Amino acid sequence: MSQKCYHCDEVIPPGFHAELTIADQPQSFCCYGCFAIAETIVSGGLEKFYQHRTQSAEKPDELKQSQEAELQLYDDPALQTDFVTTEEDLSEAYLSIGSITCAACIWLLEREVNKIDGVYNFTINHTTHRASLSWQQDSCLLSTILLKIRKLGYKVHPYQEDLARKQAQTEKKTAIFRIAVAGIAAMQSMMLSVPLYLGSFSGIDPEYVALFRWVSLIMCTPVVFFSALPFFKAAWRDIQTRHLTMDLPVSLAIASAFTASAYVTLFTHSQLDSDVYFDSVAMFTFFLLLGRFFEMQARHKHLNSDADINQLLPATAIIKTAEGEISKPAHKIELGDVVIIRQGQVAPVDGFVVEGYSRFDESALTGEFLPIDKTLGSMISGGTANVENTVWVKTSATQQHSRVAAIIRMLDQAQSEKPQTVQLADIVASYFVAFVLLAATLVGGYWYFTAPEAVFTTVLSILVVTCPCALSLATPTAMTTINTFLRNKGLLITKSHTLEAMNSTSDIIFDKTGTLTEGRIQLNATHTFGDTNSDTALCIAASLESHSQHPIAQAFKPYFKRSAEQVSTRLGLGLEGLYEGSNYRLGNLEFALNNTNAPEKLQKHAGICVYLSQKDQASEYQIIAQFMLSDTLRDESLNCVQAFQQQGIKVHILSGDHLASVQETAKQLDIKQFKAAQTPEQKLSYVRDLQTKGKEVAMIGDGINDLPVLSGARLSIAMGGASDITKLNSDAVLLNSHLSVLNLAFQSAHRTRKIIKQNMTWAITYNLLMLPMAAMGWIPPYFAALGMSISSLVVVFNSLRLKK
Amino acid sequence: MEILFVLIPVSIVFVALAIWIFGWAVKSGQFDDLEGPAHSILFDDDSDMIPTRDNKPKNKPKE
Repeated sequence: MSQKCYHCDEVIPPGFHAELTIADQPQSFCCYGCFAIAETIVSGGLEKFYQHRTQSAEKPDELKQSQEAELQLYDDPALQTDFVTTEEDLSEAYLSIGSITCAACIWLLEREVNKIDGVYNFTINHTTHRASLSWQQDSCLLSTILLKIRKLGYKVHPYQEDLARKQAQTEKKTAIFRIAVAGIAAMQSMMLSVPLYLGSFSGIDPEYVALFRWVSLIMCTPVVFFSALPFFKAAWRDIQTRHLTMDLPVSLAIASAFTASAYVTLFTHSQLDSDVYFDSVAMFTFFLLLGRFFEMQARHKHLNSDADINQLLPATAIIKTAEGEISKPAHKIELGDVVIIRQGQVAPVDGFVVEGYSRFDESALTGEFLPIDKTLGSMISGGTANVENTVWVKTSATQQHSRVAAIIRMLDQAQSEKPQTVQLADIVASYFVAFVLLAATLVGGYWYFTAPEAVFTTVLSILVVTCPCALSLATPTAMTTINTFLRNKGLLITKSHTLEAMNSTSDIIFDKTGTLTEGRIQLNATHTFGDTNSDTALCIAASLESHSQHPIAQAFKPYFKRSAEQVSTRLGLGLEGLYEGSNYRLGNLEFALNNTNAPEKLQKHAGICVYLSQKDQASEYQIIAQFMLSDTLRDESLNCVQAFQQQGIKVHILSGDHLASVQETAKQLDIKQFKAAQTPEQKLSYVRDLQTKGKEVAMIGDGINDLPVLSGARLSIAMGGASDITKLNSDAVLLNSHLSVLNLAFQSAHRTRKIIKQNMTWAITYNLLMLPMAAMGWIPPYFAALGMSISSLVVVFNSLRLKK
Repeated sequence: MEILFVLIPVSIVFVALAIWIFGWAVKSGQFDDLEGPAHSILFDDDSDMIPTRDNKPKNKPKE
């Protein structure tokens, strides 16, 4: 069992040691990034963060020198005009903070930033993760504040208001105000209706009858003409599109009750021979609005997630102009601007190279972790990282039109498509509504001929008491809640049938490289020679590799302490540099040995071996360490596979890799069905084979060669590192590549189905009971309103249970 | 009981005032963060007021 990092809960790589005493207990960390953050927290006296938090933190990105310099760009007043307003000497800015996992993070950030000299106020909104900062420009630079936030392990960007978020904000504010008006009016009307009810028992003077009725009318008017407007608008839309929803009977009920009561108040004598229903109208509106509000909150949750463009593309860029180099906010870059992208920087826009040559890491788009050569005329995509030399790129698509932005927009759009379950529910609901309207008319007709004075109340009760809420309200709430829940855990569901498909899956096929394995090179073991300590060897290797962006260098990142000097790179061979006075070489065997004899005790290893050698007094290179690297199995693969097997789902591996490594992986995971060296066509025919046998197949891959198969299976899931086309065509994307989330998703699919069934059962029982009773005239309208509202709230709250 | 004819209209005025104040609160952003205050009341920040072994709290609350 490997140890987990105290800060971010990731597995600590073997051989890595970093410990800190927190609250009198020694704790270990997985990398110097987490360690540094913990140190900062403890030295600020804020150890309570670790006690308060309810979720582990996110593993921090390494804060490179170039990123620090990038933060300083924000001090430029030209850049600040976008998101900073200054009044006298106090400046205000809105920032968007990423990587917040729980309330304790917000507590930590607020305390730390408020401590900075010159900061007047810093608060973060718990729901939107938007921070409002006010500070004095003279006492403190914006970059200092931003740096502090980054040093604590959080991402920070200027807050960019997009249309969807703005609309959501306005919608929410209006909804709250409508609820308030309806609630206050409901309370007043209920109070004023008491004397009227009591009066029908013990007698009441006509003037007072008039008074109470008039006042109730005044109270109820804003409810009908303001608070209930959404219902009327929706009902009108229903009539126009001939698609019936719950809004139609609701609007009919509200409108008719109000009109009838108003008529009684205005035109009849103040006798208590007819009733007035203002209290029912107000209460009814209030409860319905409440239910809608909760559903809206669940729907808006996904707008606040951090997986948006702002986090993938840089916010600033340096443009080369005739006057020299100027800095610009990235979303202001125009077509034809020449952007300077230095080593380690991410391209802010799409473009092509006009000067320089380098290699780019395109894993953000394609999942391919080996860098690609870019020369004059090569296309550069926004979101990819420059690995080597500075290049000058001419913009061919602005940030809004870049490939990355388009992908995210499409993903968002797919998400907002109505799920199939909901569409089915809507159809059933519309039939139900038609039935209710019909029943109301028939019953009304019957009562008109037998006891005309009861017609109105009975019809009103029927319209009000029946509630297709389980269909129109609860099922969308359930789907939205579970989608948001899974998205927060790292699984982005893009197609509607995904959850149902999970419930019916019988066989699941995994790709090997990149899915069951990490897909990147990791350090397996270190073997040292002579009296070299393995920790020291790792430090030296890491210090040399810090100058390289090659994938092999990533394996040494966790061991980095400080940089080596005079490092030179020999393409294809290795690195050479100075560390604490001695000359070292790190690379393949011939390069490290510099053509002297090899020591006999070299370890055999199936994967890549990298050797560290030291130059001794005789100017000969002696091997002091051998590092064994390979693509390792993901930690959670075994648990994930076992969980599926326990559920009764058969697990298969289909891989394009050679037999030996696929066999090894299958053995480690105890999978009996596996095939190696598969072409995409062979994979597809394997899936079709299973399907003809009646099996429901789910497929998980990183898709560079899996595209045909992913469309062939009923359910396809793409790993987070997959190419964009694959992500678009799959039914779900596993953003953080944690396989355990898959098991969670399958369990959640079961839970969702259970909850929807519960809701349906409740709805059927309730309606079967209430409708006949209302038709008989046993249910007065206020009771009908109460019953209907409680039924909708019950069903919505049951759906919200899925949040846990 | 005739006083009711005065009192009830007066209460309408109060209700209107209450709704207007609520509207101002919504507009000025009081309801923007519905989760934050629930969490922040639980963060005490009083660890330096807890008395140590020599029974003297490092930071006395303001008198």
